[in-house]
Amino acid sequence: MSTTTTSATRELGGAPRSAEVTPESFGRDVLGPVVAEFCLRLWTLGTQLERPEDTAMLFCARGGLRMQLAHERFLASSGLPTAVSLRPLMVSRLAAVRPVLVRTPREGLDHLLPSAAAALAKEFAVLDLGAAVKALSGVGPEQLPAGAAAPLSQPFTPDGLAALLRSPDGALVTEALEEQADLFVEHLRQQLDGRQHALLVDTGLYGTTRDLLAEAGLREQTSCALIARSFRPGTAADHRTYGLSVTAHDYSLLQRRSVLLRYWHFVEWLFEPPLRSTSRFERRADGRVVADTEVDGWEDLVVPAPGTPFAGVLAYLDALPPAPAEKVVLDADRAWGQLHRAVVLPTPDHGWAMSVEARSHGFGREETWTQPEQRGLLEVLRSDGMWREGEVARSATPLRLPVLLAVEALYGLRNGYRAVRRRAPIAKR
Amino acid sequence: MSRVDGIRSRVGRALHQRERLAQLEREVLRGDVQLLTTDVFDTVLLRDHTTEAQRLAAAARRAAPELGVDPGALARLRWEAHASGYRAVSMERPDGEASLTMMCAAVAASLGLGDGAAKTLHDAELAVDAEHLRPNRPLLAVFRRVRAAGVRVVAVSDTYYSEDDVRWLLATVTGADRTGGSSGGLGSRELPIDRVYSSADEGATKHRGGLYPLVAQRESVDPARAVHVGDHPSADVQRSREAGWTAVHLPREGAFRAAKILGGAAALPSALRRAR
Repeated sequence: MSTTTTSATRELGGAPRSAEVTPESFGRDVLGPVVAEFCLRLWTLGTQLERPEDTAMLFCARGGLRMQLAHERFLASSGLPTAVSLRPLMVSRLAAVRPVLVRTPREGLDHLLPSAAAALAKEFAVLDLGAAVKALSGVGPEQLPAGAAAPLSQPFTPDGLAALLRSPDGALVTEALEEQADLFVEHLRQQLDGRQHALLVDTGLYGTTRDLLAEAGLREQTSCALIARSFRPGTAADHRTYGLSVTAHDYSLLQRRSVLLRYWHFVEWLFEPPLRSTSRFERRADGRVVADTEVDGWEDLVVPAPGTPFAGVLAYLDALPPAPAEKVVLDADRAWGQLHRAVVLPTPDHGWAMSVEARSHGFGREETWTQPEQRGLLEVLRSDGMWREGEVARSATPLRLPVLLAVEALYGLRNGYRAVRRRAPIAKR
Repeated sequence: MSRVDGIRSRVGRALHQRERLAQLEREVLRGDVQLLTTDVFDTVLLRDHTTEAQRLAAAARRAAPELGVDPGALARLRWEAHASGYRAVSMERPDGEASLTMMCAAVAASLGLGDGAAKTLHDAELAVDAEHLRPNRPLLAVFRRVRAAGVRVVAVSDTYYSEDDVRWLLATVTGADRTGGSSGGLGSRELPIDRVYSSADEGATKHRGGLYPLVAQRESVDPARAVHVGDHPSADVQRSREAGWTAVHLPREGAFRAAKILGGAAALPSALRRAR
């Protein structure tokens, strides 16, 4: 087996079963036009800025790093000029929440600011305060005074963390958070290089990083462009965060682009290079602030292994002619239909070509989402895996089509139910 | 509702419009008013039932043969430039406005075409829009009378069109020779509007409130001596009152709103196709 095939197999978590649809061909023929359309829209967005020279598109680690690679390849092939600076930003929700958290002790607040409280309440719902503090600051319960022991063993609440940050017992935590928050803000300004508008570019879905940075008290303006934008129930739309390929609450049969929400793990996996999530920053001897994501040769790891879907995406982008808007629009129109069918009614080939490996949860936690081993049909249907339809397809059951159509019908019913529920409070008002 | 009731209702609405125009004239001619400002679209120039997306698609079909581009692809690119234009406004300058010139330039550049192609697309859009507008003649008659009484009349529009574009549309749709000027006469073929302010050119909008003080400053007028008329309850009425102006609300008639709903329903299949 060649090195190439080994790499492809490693990234796919299993051997491709057929040459008809390979991961790379799927990437080139289907995902390539979809990504090219995103790049075209991102370029168009840049042309509509009045002060493009004052804006930096900051591609957010980790998925954004490959988005930057794709965008640079798109610009190189197409020859389309841009006055907007393109830079990587080493960030995670963990890194972005710290500047918001430190406003609580610095400004003498008795609560966490709303975006931090919402993000942490969701991420740490099942942890105790001690584990959450360790994930956020790196300070373990054993390093804190005995007086803090009782609250640390309580379930995590935003108010509990706010109280700790304001108390003398939490001084070590506050200090650690402040150091990391300040280093992150310095990294952000390094990447902005004097520009006043940070346009974050990321995969999706909720724009949490931009929400956090907007509340971090930065003097710079922030906005966000995502591939897909969705909304947490009960949250209002933020008019500085947009989904350039799709904006939707849920997957809907009427909006085939929303198929990205049906198998979001794939989108994340497609763009995510094998780099660790950004957790800590340090200052190097030359004065530069760097993140733990920036290991030696990290740029090389952003380049995909041959034979993978993302390698196919880059092959499509590299082959684009100059000023390719017409081709991209027409190709993307076809590709969205193919992607929709591949996710909703996958063949066994699609099942293998779009299979993903384990993905880390992030936010300083150790848990991962994993692709289960091949399972029986009933087990697949009962479980809540990353992509149930792909597992059905890979099982090669003769019931593939009726089962997948039934799943689609259930999505349709769920979609209708949720749409009614979303409208209900509006109708009452 | 019986047929007679229906006729009564329509007559009632017509009287209502006439009353509002009379109210506007009274407000302006009360003696101390120096400036009458007016909204343009759906106030001076009345749109038909078509949606913006339908008009953009029609313009793309018209421009595509000259540009040598697939009409469907051109319409999609134009619609995407529209969306990007307003996204950029929200992200970068929430008090500002998108610009048709910038949108057409982006579409042309993405196709490898030059300024001439951008102008072709731009002109097609103006021409198509003009075909879907008609003049509000009773309102224009009010403008003529107040101008004869020495009150300056200016148009103030929230639009991605430039001031030149709006002037062209006003002249084309009303059949006027040109916009009026302080030295011009008041012949029936002269447009009774002295100047146009467009949010795209000024970088401030009525709906965010920034355009009113800017116009007052440019016109050197005390807001207490200015009257604004328009159809939009927030951008034209609420915001102008907040800026210290007297506002007169001139909403579109019920028949238009019904036609708009029917037009929107007819456009639903293409809207769904676009969303897909």
